Amino acid sequence: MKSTSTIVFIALLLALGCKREEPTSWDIDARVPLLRGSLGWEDLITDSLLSTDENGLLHLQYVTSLINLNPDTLVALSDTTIKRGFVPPFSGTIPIPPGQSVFSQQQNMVLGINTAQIKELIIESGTMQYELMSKVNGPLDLFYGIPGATIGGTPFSLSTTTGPGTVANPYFESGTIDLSGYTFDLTGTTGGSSNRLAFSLQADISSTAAGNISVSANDSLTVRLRFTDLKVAYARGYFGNILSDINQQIDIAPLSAIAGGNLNLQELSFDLEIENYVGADIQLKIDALKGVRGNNFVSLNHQVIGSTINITRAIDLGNSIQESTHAYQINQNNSNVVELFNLLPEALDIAGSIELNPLGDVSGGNDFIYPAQPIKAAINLDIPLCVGVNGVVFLDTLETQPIDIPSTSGTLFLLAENGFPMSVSLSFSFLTTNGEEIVLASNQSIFSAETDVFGYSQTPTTINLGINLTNEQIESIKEGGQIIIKATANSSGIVKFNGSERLDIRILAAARTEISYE
Amino acid sequence: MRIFLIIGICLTSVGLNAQKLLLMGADSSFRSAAVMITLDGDGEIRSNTIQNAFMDKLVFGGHIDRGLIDAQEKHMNDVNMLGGNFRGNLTMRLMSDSLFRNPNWSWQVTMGSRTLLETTFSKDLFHLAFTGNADFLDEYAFLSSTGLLLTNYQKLGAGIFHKESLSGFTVSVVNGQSYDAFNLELGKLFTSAEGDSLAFSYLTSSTRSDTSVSGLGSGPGIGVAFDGVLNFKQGESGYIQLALHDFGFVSWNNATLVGNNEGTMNWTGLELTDILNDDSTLPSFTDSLTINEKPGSTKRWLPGSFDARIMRKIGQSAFYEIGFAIRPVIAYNPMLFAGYHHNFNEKTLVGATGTYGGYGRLRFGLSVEHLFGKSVYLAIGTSDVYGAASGKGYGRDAYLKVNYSIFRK
Repeated sequence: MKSTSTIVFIALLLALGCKREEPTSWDIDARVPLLRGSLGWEDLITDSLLSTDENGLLHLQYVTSLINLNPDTLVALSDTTIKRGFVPPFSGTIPIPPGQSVFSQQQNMVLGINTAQIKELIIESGTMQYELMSKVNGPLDLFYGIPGATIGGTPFSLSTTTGPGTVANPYFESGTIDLSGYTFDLTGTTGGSSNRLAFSLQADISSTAAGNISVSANDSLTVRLRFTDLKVAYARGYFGNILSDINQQIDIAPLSAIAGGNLNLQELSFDLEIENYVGADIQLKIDALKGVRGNNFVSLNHQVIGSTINITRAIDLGNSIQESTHAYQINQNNSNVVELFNLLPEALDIAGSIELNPLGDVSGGNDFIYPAQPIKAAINLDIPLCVGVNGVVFLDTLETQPIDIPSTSGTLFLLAENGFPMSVSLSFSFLTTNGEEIVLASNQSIFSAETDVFGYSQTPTTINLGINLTNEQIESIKEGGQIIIKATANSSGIVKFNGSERLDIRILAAARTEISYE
Repeated sequence: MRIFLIIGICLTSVGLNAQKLLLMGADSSFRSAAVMITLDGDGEIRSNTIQNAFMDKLVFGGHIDRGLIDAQEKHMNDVNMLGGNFRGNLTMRLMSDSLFRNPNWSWQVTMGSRTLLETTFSKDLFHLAFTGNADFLDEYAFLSSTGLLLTNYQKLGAGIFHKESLSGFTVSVVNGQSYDAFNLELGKLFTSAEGDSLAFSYLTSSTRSDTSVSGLGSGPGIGVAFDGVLNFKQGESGYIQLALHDFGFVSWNNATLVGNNEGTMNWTGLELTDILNDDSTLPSFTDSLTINEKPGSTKRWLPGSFDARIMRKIGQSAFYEIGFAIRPVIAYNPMLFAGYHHNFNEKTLVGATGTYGGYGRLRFGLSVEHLFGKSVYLAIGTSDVYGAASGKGYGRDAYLKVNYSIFRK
């Protein structure tokens, strides 16, 4: 009897302690949509303006600044601290009755301005912090004025009554003034200087004092002014003769997504426009302008290259500015600009120089600038998309994180409807975190849409590509890495685009997946 | 190892198969015991369409090949069911005590634990889960009437019983350990002809108990249950037995998640422009199938059962029985059973049974009950001999019951 019970008990223990010896698994055949989308010109060429002309031909237009001239190179105000100490004009100790002057001064303070000689400024924003420190052992009626700093015609002034102070424990007072909208006359106390702001100080024994106040030669009054974050809305003066080199690289954003190939353009316009809103003469010289792609470049051949461009000063009409404008139309008839853009340049390299006031102070110190309207030098690119496409490569890299999916093999189906009049050859590869490149599909062709007699696309082509993926390939992809998509476009001769072309893509997986659990 | 687990699952005593030898046998010496301790349990895994070979691989591991999947689908109905029921009880009857000076009645205390798993599923759901959606191109996979119930609870109760007939009842406090229920009342999945779009329409209801306090004896629910057995003696010819088990409810705490959701999820793949505009990083997949669940206290009935049977003697050494069992749960058909039992001697009873319904199909079983001396009673059997031995059977069950009677010296 005991043995029977023991056997049953042991069997139960064994059963409860049982573990699975292998996972449960089975295979499923799944059809799963992975990706869909419709790509048009706005997706392929970014940061540009696409428009069609009267004939329905699509134009790619792009405007960008060619030369960036910082107004701060002409007039820049650095933070400035000015400290003035005033002592009594006598020796020993003298009792001074209420209402009698102790300190009286009129001086200039020099603002922190670069090489320019400025006579007038209008402040857009900024502050002035002041600190008053009195060691006079009695109250002072203090008037501090900056007659050259006005707002609405009213000069800046500060009136206050200080408390008694000592050498060891002076009276202290501080505050902050918003200078936005102030006009600074920087001709100083004489009216003939520059960069100088006149101020006056008057300090009397306060009329509220109970009696005479003893003032010694050691007593002093100190004023500290700190100009901070001053931004200029307008400046007038002589900005100096400044010669600067130009050495800039300008990205051509719409073409930066293209990784290679070239075009066969028929025509384009590449306008260079210079607008001078500054009241100062400018001399500009462009020594070289290159279109650059990788190690390849094409230099622009046009009369503007190497020529000196004299740009006269703008005229301040009071309510507006009459700018000085220079424009150059660069096209296939007067330059090799088509050859330059056939390269599909990622960037334009510009080298040259710019000189301000090449003839010196011919305005008698009346150069002017409104920093909101500086010198503008821009290019305006207009490419009519009547073009041959020769191996133009679009390259995109997508980062993938490690994913946990079951053991899988199968086929990726790419269903595409191509409305572009050019064929696309697609390659997919996967770059593992170890740097190993796994080619998933190489040069899978999507044929060009059929074109009409004018070269526009007429009938989209539909294709269905299958990309077989082995279990080993998918196991590598699961670890994470980069998916590299390369699309190479080619046209059969010159084709035309009207902007309505689209590439519709659907990617779905037909996968055999092993489902399993432990 | 697998065989031990199968034995373990099956070594239990179904309430339907209890104590026939004690009721119908000639040896009534157990009634003079001071205390009778009964350890019993029942266990069953059964389906009306899923074969044992398939279940074995689901439970014990192994690769399920397409041939085995096809074999399951061959006999499937539009709606199919699978259930598993595991129950263990320890009961102590004070045979020598009396109930308020009535010597025919006495006290009993019991404690036990039960796990119940039930599911219903459509043929399309099975095909979708085990072969994928490739066979559903340009078609709907109909998934309605899918249900799942998984619950665990323990009982601790006390009651009275009648010494002669072993009739009695107990009232128990129930500790709800876990409760998970999901119903896909309406559901269908459409796969387009090219497989480039999926559309899933659904109407669901769900209840999930608080998992933060789940544990044996310390669960997130508390309730009450009533169990009772009435054995009506029909003279010397036999008994009519009526049994009600787990009639009661559990109140699950206010962290229980209850949800009702309806909607359609469409999936056509990631949007290409999102990928191209997302800083060269593949966007993460955001599941648009949202399950809205609100926390709150809720009450749920226990998965109770009602059984009835008639046992009639045939001559001096045999009897037959017929009966039925019903359970108002999601995957259980009314079960009919009949059996023939023969006493080889006063201490040994051997029976053969036929059963139809419940979770499964028609099956035939065997049982043996034996008294070892006058202290130990052992009952063991199964309602499905073929299922116990064959992978082509549609389930397994068995039972074990041990009574140990303590006599005063």
